[in-house]
Amino acid sequence: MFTIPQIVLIILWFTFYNAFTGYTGLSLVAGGVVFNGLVTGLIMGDLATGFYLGGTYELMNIGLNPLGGSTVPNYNMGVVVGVAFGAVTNLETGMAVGIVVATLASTLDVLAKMVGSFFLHKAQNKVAEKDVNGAVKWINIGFWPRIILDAPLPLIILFAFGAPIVEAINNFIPAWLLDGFKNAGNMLPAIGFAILLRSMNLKGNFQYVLIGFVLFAYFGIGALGAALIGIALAMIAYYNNQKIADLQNSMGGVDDE
Amino acid sequence: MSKLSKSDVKKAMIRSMCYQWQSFNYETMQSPGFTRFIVPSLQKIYAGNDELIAQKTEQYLSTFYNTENTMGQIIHGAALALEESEADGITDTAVALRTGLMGPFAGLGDSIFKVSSKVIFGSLAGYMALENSIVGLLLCVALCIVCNGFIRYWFFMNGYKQGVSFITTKQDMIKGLTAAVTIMGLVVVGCMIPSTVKITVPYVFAYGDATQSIQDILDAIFPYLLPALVTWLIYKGLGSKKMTTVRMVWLIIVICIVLTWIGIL
Repeated sequence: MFTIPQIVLIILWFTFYNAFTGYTGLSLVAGGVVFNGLVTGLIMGDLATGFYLGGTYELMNIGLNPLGGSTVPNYNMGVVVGVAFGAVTNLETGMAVGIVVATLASTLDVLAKMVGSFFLHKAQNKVAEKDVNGAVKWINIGFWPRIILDAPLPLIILFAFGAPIVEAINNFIPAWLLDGFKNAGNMLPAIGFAILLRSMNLKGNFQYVLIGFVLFAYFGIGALGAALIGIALAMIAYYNNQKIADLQNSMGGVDDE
Repeated sequence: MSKLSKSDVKKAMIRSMCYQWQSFNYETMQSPGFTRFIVPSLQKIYAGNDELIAQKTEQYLSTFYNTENTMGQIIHGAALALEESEADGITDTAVALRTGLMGPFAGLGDSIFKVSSKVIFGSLAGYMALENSIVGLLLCVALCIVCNGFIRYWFFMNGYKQGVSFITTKQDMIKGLTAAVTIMGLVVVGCMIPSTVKITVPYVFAYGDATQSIQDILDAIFPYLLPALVTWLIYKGLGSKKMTTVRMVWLIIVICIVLTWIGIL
């Protein structure tokens, strides 16, 4: 299955990725899943799987924003594991494993944030002792449990125990189960879109969703074309609002109420 | 007058950009990260007065703080400028400012820098990857450098020099921008529901020789009816307080496996 250098490289890469983006705040708003899929594909010598799962999971990930400290499936983790296992078995198995791992990994995120409280309290104690530098030290140490929980720890466990299990599953897994995961993979992006519609102020704006839907369903225009039409509609709305504002100003502010 | 040199401010800016995940926790969320940013500056401004520094640190550390990290830079810059005034009880003002602005700034920042940009750039990266192209990914890297690099720098410095008035004077522009990215994002979402959510029913009715594909019936009503319907159902489902995103993912996996097993999907 995996060679040791492959496992080591993948773990080092994903730990570095998490530490770097987490520490500097230079995290990719989008595209991170494709990125991790490609790097893992490169390490495994299977770029095709990296492109396919990276692209597929990226689309599932589009609406999943951990806003307000909430937790969502971790498709970065999912794609790394999915591509690694997919490269040594087959695409369908990798896809199923990746989805399950991404969803399970969200539990680790909750755990990491709970562990954060411990370091907050340590820092608060130090401040109470007037040791401000000691407090900052604890705050800095409190960066690492999250990284360890989000990257190397689950990967080590998965590579140590996952490979024989996945191999066994792969030999006995019925086709309908793999197909079920594939169908779930095709349906899961809908969650992202539903969340987006919830967070994007749908009231009074539903017509724009409808326009986008018709563009693809009846004319086959994809995301980029839709984005351009979106820009045009946004400009129309913007200038119309400005005209109304100007008109109100020129009329001396109309009667409020 | 000022005890912070230009390079001190630059260093503070860099700490401020790297603030989010240090000891992030459910009690005070980003307060440790903020503390880590402001403490070295406090030590410069109030050098020698350890009692006061500890008291101020305690205020910043123990008050809940959570906002969108790009917009947050304006708050950080303004808080630093407030502390530099060395006025009595200025930390109360800074903490109040932080608490008062974190909500509206998060709403604004999330809709511009997270939600809408993620839809547009994520769809490009995803689709292009499926066609074995990294152009979309490169665009995402560029977006990251602009949003998380340049804009944060610009926000922090202007928050520091002009305080939050920097952003309140631009209210009209921000309102327009938010409305614009929302419209653009919604059109893209509308387009991506049928293009990304792939649900078809292969099941075919058979009465003797006559067969009727269910998918054909659905397509006759209107194309991509199922993706629209499923998205709407999930939208409704997520409205329930008990339904989290992760639960919804499990639910869909289970439903899909069952439906596939029966032979409907």
